[in-house]
Amino acid sequence: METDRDKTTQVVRSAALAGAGVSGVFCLVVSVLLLVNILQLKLNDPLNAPSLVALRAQYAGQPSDESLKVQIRALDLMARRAFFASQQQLRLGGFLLLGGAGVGISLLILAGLLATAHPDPRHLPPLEAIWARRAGLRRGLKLAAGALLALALAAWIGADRDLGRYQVMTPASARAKWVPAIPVPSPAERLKNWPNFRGPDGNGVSPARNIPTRWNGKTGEGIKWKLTLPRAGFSSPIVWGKRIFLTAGDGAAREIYGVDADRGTLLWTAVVTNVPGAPGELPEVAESTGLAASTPATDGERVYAVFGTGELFCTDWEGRPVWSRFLGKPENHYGHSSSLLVVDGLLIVQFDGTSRARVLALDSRTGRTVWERERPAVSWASPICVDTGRRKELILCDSVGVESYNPANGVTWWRQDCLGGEAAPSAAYAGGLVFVASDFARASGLRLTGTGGVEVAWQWEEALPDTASLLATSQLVFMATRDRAVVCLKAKDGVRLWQQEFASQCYASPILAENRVYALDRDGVMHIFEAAEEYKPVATCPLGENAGATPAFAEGRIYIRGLRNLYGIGE
Amino acid sequence: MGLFLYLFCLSGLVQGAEPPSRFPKPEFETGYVQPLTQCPAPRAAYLEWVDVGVLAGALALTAWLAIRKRSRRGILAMTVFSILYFGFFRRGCICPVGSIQNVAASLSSTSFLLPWTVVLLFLLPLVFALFFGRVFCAAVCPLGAIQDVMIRRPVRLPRVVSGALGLIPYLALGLAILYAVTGAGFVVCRHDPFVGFFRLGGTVTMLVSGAVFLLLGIFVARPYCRFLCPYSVLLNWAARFAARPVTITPDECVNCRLCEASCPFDCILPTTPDRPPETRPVARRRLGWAVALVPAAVMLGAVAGFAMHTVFAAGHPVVRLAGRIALEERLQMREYTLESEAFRGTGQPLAQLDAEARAILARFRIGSTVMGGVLGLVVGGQLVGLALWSRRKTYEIDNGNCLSCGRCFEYCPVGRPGGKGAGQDHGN
Amino acid sequence: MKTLNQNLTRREFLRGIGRYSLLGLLGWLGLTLGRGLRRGKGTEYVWQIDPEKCTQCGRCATACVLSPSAVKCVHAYVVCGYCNLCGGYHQPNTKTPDTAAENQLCPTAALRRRFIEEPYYQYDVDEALCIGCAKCVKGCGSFGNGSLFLQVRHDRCANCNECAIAAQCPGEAFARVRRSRPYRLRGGVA
Repeated sequence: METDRDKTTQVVRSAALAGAGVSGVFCLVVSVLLLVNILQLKLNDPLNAPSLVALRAQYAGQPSDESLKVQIRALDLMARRAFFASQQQLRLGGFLLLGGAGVGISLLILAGLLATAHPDPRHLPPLEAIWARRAGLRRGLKLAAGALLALALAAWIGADRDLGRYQVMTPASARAKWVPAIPVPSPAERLKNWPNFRGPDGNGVSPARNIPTRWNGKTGEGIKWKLTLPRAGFSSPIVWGKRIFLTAGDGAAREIYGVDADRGTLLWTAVVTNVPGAPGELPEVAESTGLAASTPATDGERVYAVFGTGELFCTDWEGRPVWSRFLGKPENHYGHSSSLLVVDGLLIVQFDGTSRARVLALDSRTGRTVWERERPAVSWASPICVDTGRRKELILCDSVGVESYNPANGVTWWRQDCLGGEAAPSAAYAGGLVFVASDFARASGLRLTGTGGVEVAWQWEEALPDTASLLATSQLVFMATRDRAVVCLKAKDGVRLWQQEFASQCYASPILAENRVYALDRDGVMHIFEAAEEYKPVATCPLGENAGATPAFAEGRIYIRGLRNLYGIGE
Repeated sequence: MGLFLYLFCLSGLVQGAEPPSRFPKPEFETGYVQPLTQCPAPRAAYLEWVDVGVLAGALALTAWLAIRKRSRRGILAMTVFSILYFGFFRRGCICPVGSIQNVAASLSSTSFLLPWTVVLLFLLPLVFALFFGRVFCAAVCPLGAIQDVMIRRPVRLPRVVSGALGLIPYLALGLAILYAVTGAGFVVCRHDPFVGFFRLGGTVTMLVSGAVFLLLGIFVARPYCRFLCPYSVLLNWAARFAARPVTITPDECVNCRLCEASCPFDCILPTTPDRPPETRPVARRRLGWAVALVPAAVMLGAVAGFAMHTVFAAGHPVVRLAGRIALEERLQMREYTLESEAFRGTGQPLAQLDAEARAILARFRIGSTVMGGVLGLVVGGQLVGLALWSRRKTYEIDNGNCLSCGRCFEYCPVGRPGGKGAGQDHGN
Repeated sequence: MKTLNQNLTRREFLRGIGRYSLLGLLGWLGLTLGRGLRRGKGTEYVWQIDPEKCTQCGRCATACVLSPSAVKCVHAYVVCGYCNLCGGYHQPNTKTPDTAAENQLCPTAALRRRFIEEPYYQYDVDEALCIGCAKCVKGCGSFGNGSLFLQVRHDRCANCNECAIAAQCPGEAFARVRRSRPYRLRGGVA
């Protein structure tokens, strides 16, 4: 009887143990499957499958491709199915694991309860070994302490005590790189266009060819089209592909226009509204500056514009708002007039006022600040960004001097305090020399040195520009001065080569194209002369309308903004 | 200064909870009524008190089962209950183990206030340990419970190994407090190996480490509890002063060694030979050396802790971010991490971040040095303890390490009916 | 035997001293820690996201201990512009604002839209499908009114002692908030 009961107990216990083993194996299999599932989901996330992403990108380029649409729909459905199926599997697997573990553990407990075997003291170490055990514990402690000390020593040797110098990237975040949503346009692409004030680098040089030299706005000769603008503004037009963008504004409204470059039709008007934080009250500005003096900028994907109100506005290609920011009310007695510049996905905003002067670099996708630097003084000049062959330099003028920054992070490369008065002309760069000038102060030629700084090559104090920016070739420097003249200096040493007076002063900055200088005066007359060591006029073309904006150049075309009209000149 | 003020104003505008309103609110003509945004309420507050009540009840019941009833089966039933309730039902987060960090953070910061439920969660097991030993470990802690049912073929670890591994809980406790106090986060929760099972999901490392611990637990009884759990240090010290801890036998010990063989945690102190195998002068010299070593160990530990502080500080997100930004600035990298991009988006000056990181680093310097010193003290103290000789005529429980699981008295042949050994005897 | 007893009682006495001093220490700790209650402040907390700090990095979808994440997109209808072309619903550069898959931004089609009246559409989030990836939040924030944003949904959240997403949030947008005000909604709805 007793043995029977014992036997039954034994059998039940063995069965329980076997069952526990089976459920253990089951749990193991399920967990391996679950892990594989999780890893799979982690490694190739169906919702962000490369094939789907690539298809979507392709579709963005060819929106009319019907077969692409069908493909995307099919793949999208598949991805969702795969995702939710694996979610379902995870949940099911979890419950299976739970059930298996529950059964297994219950059986183990049952087997434990039915156990008849006693713990066997015969396997224990002899009592006399207690001293050896203590010795073992001591040894273990010393070993552990020694290991910790060794670890500390290794850390002391290996770790760099400078906060910034040890590698602190986690692998996961290291993979998440800052990638502009839209590829940054290549230099060649920028060169083909006129993306901001004074051309590709903001340096006043156009690589375009077949530039017209003969037109007359009064007779219509050479004029391809003429567009009357709804509102006025002193900002200059910019060109990208077949689109021209300009800004206009007054107390009633600030607007951005998109114009068809071939036909001269107004494609869209973006009205600046709902800028978060903008107070609605207008700053006081001079009549000659207005609220739309700053030239917009584009990167071929979006258009950025800043106004005298401190409103910064970004639209997409069709004039729909993307983001906007209020920079603060400009503290500026003429009105804010510095233009925008896009450098490698960063929108550079020179925001020099009499107080709170600063330069910001914003993420062009979102308008968020990437870096920001305080500036020493007010200015009305615009940033230029040139590649000196060694590095990119972002060169900004203010009413004290000129400063060059690393466009990527705003760190100063060099600074030279050689300006004065009220700085409105922007710098020019050519052949290793930076040229700056401001009225009631002086013009300077600054040579970049091998150590990354600058030295003053020459200075000139006679006739100085007050509005128009400088223009330079590797041999010559041109300045349109306040007293209605254009002065040509030798780039190397600042010696005057010639000086030519016109009937009116140039507000527009002179532009170099096909080795000819185009200088537009306030009467709307374009003076074209050769960029040579002596004055060689090529042509004089009237617009028939006053003008202050710097013209934009494209292949075979010039776009000139008069006070009321925009002209497309050329074939 | 002006710039800072301005940034402050700007952030104030952003904080103003008014999102950019690019499109005006539509004026509906069809009588359409805007639906309200639905927000399900969190778990009711009184349920937290229910949890604390259940914890207190479970502790009391386990203490009664272990000390009065001396029922291993009862404790086993409690184990199953804890796995189900605290584990799977409450998803492992009624957790006094993790509450150490809340307590440390609250003590170091005036703004981090604890709810009473969390205070009680932290205190109850310790108070019980002061009176009844580690009944919390016996069957209430879900992390221990799930390991306890896995024990099948426990091996007796060599003393060298258990002595060395026994230092890790102190290190874990130190790090848990260090990271909580410096605001780096709760590392114990982050590396909890079993909570993934209770939630039926978690990171791969969490699940894998949990599985490893459970499988290891078949042979090495409750490895997490003995060689990692930071709360075990506190419970250990409280249980050493326990008023009425579990006892092996209710009566005279017959020195059968069954209890010693049954304990999977190696917590039964066997009887000693009548006299130590060493001569008195040798023992004295050993003790003298151990005592003399204590200040040296503290010093050495403090120096080691100081040396480690940058390594520990690298675990703090702000220090990591500052390091990353410094790297980006120096190399003029444009490949931002999500963290550095987010930081740059706030427009906060770099200098401020740098200062913040340096302040945190300074806290790590102090904290890490103190931690190293305490760890040195622990090593020195344990060496002194091991140099002391006390005679035992009966089998005793090592109260600090005993988890009150009840296996020893289940097998004790002395005294009461119902003990398994006794039961077998009756059967024959 | 007598010495043994004396030894025992002495040891017991010392243990008692240790026990009650530790108890006193714990009591002091409890009172110190309970200061929140003494000041009459409710300190029970839950985790929540500050939408203004959220950078839409996408980690909410992957870092949560739950799968799918307890973080979902929430729609504040009072803020919504009910646009036909929706920055949160449609892919950027969508030419035809319809519900076709190639034009949808949401990877799981959790965002649904319903025609109300010309030209307005109502957008709803299907939380059973939403994985909290914040793609729509980003779109709505940059092109629209920002009426879509992420929130921890407390019917799903396990309220971990340390939120696994908070530990990885690059914008430090996660914070413990009072249980009595468990959401941070836009548009002032409670």
